[in-house]
Amino acid sequence: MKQVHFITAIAWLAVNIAKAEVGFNKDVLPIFAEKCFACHGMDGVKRKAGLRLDEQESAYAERNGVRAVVPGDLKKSALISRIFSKDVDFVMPPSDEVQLTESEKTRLKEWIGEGANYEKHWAFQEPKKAKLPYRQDWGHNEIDRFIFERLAKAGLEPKKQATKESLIRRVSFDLTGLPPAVDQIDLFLNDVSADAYEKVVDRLLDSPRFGERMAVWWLDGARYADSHGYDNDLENSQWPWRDWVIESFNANKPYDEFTVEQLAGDLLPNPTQSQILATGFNRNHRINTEGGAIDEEWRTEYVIDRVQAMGTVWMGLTLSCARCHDHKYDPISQKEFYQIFAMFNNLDEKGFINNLRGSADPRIRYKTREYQSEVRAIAAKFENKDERKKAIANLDSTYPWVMVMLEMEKPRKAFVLDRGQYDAPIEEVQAGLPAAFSPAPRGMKMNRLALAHWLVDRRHPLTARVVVNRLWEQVFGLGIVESSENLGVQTDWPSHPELLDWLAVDFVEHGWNIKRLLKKMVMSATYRQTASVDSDRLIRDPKNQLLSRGPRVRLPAEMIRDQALAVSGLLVEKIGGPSMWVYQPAGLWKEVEKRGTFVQDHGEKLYRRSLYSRIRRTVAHPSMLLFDTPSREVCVVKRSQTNTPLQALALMNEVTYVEAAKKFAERMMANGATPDERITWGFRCAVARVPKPSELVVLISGYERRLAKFVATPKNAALLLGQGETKVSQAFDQSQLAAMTTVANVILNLDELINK
Amino acid sequence: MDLFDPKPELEKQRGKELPESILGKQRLTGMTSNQKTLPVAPTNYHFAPRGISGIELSDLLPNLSGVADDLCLIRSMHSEAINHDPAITFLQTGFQLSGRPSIGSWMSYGLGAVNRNLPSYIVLTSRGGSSDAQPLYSRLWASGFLPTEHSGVKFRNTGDPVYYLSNPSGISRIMRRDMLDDLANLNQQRLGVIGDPEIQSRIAQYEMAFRMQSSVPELTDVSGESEKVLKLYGPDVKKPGSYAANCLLARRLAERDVRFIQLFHMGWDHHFKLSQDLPRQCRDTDHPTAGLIRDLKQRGLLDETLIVWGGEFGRTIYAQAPDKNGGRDHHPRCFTFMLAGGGVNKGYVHGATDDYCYNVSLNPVHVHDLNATILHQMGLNHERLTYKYQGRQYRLTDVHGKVVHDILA
Repeated sequence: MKQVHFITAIAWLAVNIAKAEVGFNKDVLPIFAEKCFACHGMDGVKRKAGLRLDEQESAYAERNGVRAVVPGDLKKSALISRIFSKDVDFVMPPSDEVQLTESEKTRLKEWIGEGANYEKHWAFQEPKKAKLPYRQDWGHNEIDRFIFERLAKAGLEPKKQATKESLIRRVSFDLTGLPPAVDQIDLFLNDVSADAYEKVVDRLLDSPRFGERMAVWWLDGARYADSHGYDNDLENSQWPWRDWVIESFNANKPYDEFTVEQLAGDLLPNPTQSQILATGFNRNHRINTEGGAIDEEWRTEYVIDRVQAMGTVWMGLTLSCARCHDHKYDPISQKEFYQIFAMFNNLDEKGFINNLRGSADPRIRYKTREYQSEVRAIAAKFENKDERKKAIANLDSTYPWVMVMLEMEKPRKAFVLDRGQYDAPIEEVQAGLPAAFSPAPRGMKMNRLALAHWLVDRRHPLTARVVVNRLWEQVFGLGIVESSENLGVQTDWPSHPELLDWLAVDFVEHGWNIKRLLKKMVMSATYRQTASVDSDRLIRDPKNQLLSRGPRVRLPAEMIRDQALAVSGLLVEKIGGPSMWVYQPAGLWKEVEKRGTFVQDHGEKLYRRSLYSRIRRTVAHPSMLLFDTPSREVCVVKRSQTNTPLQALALMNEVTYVEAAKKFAERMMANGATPDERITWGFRCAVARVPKPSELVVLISGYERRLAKFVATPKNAALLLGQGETKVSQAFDQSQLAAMTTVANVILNLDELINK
Repeated sequence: MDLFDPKPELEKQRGKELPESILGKQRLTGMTSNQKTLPVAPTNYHFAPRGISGIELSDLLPNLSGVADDLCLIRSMHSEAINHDPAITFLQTGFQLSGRPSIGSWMSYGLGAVNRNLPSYIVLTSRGGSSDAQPLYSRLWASGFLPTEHSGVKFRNTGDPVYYLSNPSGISRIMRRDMLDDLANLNQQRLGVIGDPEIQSRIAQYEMAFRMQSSVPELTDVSGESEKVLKLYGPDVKKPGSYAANCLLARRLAERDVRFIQLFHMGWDHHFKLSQDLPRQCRDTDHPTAGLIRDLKQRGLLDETLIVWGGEFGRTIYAQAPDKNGGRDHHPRCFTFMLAGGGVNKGYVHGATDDYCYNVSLNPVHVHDLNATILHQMGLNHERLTYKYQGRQYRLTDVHGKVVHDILA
């Protein structure tokens, strides 16, 4: 028994030593991909000297008596002599290209010295659950075991748990996109039971606000908007599709079903209206309505857009690189690209529709549940058949058209297009799936449905990893793979490869359950750490990739506005429906021409969640754009996070925020009798915690100084309180209310407020 | 052919069908591909040699003719797209479909900012009197996958020049300062607790926002400009939002070290009514553009400021709707760009087109070549100015582009 134990220990040691070697995927592939594959990679056309370094066979092969790579033999490996050469005509990469760094050269040398082992790119291998790390000293669930192990390796200790206040604020934003209300904070603070936090998490996951928060995340990749883009950029009515997304997240539709319905709902047996509606995903692309546009050119663009969006969202790959040539880095040939293209090519659609308003074919009338009862009512009301028909047609016309995927009976012919040009077909192709990932589903007709099933096959190496990583990014601020938009060969090395794979497999094993996955993340001790950071951690873990502290990330644009509406009491919590025209700077459309007359909405429509604000693709809303929302013209799955003076101006002065400040001030006035009480309440309402005395004193003295000003010039109080369309109560002293509005404005601009 | 590229011999072909050999096989837009005839329509404007250099320019450009010896014309520009949206997107970003950074964003990314009180890429727009101008899109100056801080900031013609610049009514500048002091104090306290340097940067951004609240109005307030200077730009300079006013603003921005200033003037899409609309567009732009060149020159700024003037494509030599009050269709196969200052040759013409002004016949300059050259003059190597996105190194010029050394002084 003792001996067996000993052998295990040796084997474990051996594995550990092996890990210290240069790994092909971790150390070599990124160098090849960045600096060599352009000429020595997958692309057959650009390949020089017939050498490809992505394939072992080719790299080892002999050409004219020379071998690029000879395992274990540095002298005989031409790669070594070329990269270390001082001769400008001989050196590789060529002297006019970006050169290798010294450490890169050393790594390549070590790799060949150690035997030049090739490995398949990690993200193209089926993920496997690694054994959980041995140490259990810290944390609540599996995530923490992986995180703790990595921290320990880096010599870092995890941070202590964040305060209850900051925890409830953080998790409320992550799961619902809104701050916690004061009574919810109180409830949590007063709940001393062991599962108090879990109760909060469960409540948030059950909230209808959850689906809205998740939809914002999904809509970027789906390039959802309320207009067609391009020249005239007139309105569409795709919003029922957006509501489908919200409902799906709220119902916790498993991600595999969610995938199949969006990609191929129309091809399911006896599809429901909802399943057909789901396919609107692939009709959210822009449509060219500019006079003179060539129909087939643009129809081809739409098909390519679908392939590109599918590739980015589900596979985390840049398939569109293979539009013009074999992919330079990833195993997608140009032919395979057009085989996928063939699947998205079979709609009875137009590429160019002059001045398109509304929706383009194929499309369906989106009918709500009330439709059937209304039809029955009509049947009862009219006995005459013609009258009945007319009334039903009238009724139908009140329901919006939604653009969807409907397969033509006879597929359109598809071709490999030379350089991706619509008018340069080379070779006819049949629908098919790329060979390098998991096997194609057996016995299925090759169409979008087969594609969807292939993606959600548990053996597919990418689908689960990609979505798990992107959800991780939502919660922790940075993906386990930082380049969450690309898991191909050029991707970043994961900070915690075993954790990513463990989560991906676990996700699939538990039925692609999104709420369960998110719950695991936010229940982890890793997530619950305090976000405060010291200089040591800033140096050793600058981006917080190791999770040496809790996540602290600037809120997305939508959450910033929604938060202002929520704390001011203006927010109208209502799910779905047509999008709204909210405040925008006067003359915005005029300056860019052909945008018609802007008619703003009023009343409660001004105070819906930002997800329901209309998106006109070519005239983005300025303040949303400032906080990094994509224009939704093309599929984008990763937003940038900037910090600019223009953001400051928006939060200081935009009518949305000034109006929110005055209504927030009104609530503060109502929730206390003295400035001290009122400001304390407001501060808690905004950032969930009680202000420190040193903070409170700043706000109170500021209030008093400005109150004196407003008392001296009441006209200014009236001007300030006149901002925005809602009225303020005259029951409060207007100078006090105006001074409190300035305090509210300061609070709404706090860095703490716009970060989670 | 109406402004920069004289073809006096072509008059003999007026009204005759454009020969097949010239037309070639390239595609036409859906607007003229069904037109029965493609009759040659030579210009109706007179050209003459201008200045010492003798560059020939049309009578539609009297003021630019006066600075001909400072101009560098590229008569052999060509592009790829044939419709506005893809063509202007291509010119701006080096790619026909949207999603890539605009040239100004690349410039901001590559050069950074000198003036910390103003954005490094500023966009000014104006429109002519045309009833049916092509629209602009905010993505034309967007940063694509570059961080959004490199997006062009469009100065507006009405209201605040920069979005949300003014304090709400009822809040004076003094009161704003008072509020920002409180904000800075609280953010500073938070920084002490959290330690995240992003908070420091947020504090700095609020201070810059406050400075912009005075630096931008100071910039756009032209009341201190002398009559003599205003005269250089022509009578429109006093109309806010006009191309002329924007040219003056451009000079003031250049003086303040803004890296990339881009003016868009709408209204050049003359499928019809060419004879009314083209002279009007020229009236809008000829005088102010020449004024800008003169003004920069007299201030010694022309050498370090590169002016680039042109559009996303040219127009056809054949007439569109010739029997009605016709015009010219889109034509990406050849067109002219005008450059001045910034180290380019003076009084110089590069490239040529064939006898019909329909194909480039000498020294073709592709949009990628122009962009490569612009970057080069800003000290940036277009092959080295890259940004990694979705696992790939991207460039403004994709895998193309050659610096046009012949036009450089």
